[in-house]
Amino acid sequence: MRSEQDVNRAIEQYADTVKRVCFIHLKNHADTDDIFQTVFLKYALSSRSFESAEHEKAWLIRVTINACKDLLKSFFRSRTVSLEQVKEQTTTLSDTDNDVLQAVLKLPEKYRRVIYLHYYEGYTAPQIATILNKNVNTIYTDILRARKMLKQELGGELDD
Amino acid sequence: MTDQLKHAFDSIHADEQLKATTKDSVFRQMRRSQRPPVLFGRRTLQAVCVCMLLFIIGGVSVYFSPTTLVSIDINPSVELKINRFDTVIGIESFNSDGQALMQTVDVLYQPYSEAIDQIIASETVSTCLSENELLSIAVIKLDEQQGDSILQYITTATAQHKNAYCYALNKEQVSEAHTLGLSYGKYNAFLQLQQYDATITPEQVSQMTMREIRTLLFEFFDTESATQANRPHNGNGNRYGKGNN
Repeated sequence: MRSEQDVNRAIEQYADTVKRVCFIHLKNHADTDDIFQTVFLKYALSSRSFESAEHEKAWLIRVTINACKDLLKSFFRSRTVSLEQVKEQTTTLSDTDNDVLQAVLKLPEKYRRVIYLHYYEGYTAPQIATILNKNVNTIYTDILRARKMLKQELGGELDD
Repeated sequence: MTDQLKHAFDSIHADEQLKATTKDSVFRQMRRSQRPPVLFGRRTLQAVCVCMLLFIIGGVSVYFSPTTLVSIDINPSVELKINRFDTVIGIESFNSDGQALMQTVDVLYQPYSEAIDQIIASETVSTCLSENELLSIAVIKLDEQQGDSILQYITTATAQHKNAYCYALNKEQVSEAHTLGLSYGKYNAFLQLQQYDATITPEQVSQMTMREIRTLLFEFFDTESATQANRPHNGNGNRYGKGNN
């Protein structure tokens, strides 16, 4: 088990990352709270040692994605949120940011994931394949398709 | 495209309240998991302890309750207390020879069969038997079925000794034995002697061997028989006797 100091540092350091992963999966604040507690408790109770900060971050991203998937599969999950409610959550953003995020959220889940990991976190296809435990070629295909769909969604708003 | 996506995602932040709630919840669960697990509440534990205590007391009480008593008299007088599990739970001597015998055998908490075999095979009893002493083994049955089994075993175990005799006694018949300082077997003999001689004392019987008691009994019996034979016969004259005609 890790110390409270370690956990405190991890929450401060990776809370935004976990929040973003939750955002592309859940679209819901209440579920995000649950995922936060699940992910950081798992981190607290884990005795795994990380080679670097990047390694630690990748582990937290993978755990968050798995927790989100589990929650989405959960039979007992009844909290569903409409896209309108999601828009309400992002009302504080600028129009451009809001449009971009709405376009991302319209993509199928697997494309949302690779868009975030590749374009925001800067992971390469092989790195994403490792995190998601998938074939590299599949990831390459997903990135291309996601990019194409996102461009279509945003029309001329998305620069190359 | 990358810049636009980065800018958009950068605008998403975990608010301070979410971080605080998460820390609070995670720290609480960490502290809980550090505590040793409480399997049972105090009341449950107390109830379990009381039940176990009662069970142990009950078990001990059952184990140490004799269900059959075996009185072995030759000159050493000893008694074995046997529980329902066929185990010897007590051995008591009723004279100095019995005390000496107890020092040479180790029968406590042994199965009764081993205890009986050990006592019969002991040097003291073997010497007495070789000197034509009489071995009396009385089984006092508190549990009828077990008493029968033990009596059967002892009868078989002593079958080779012509001077040994085994019999069953009723507890009520010999309940006074211990208050008079006699073993059940000797008390039974004392009762028989008293029928012929009311002056005989338990102390005298205690010091006598079973052979001496038996000899005395035969003497009394013979004397009485002779007395009866000499008494005038009031019959019809078809029997032996002097008659009064």
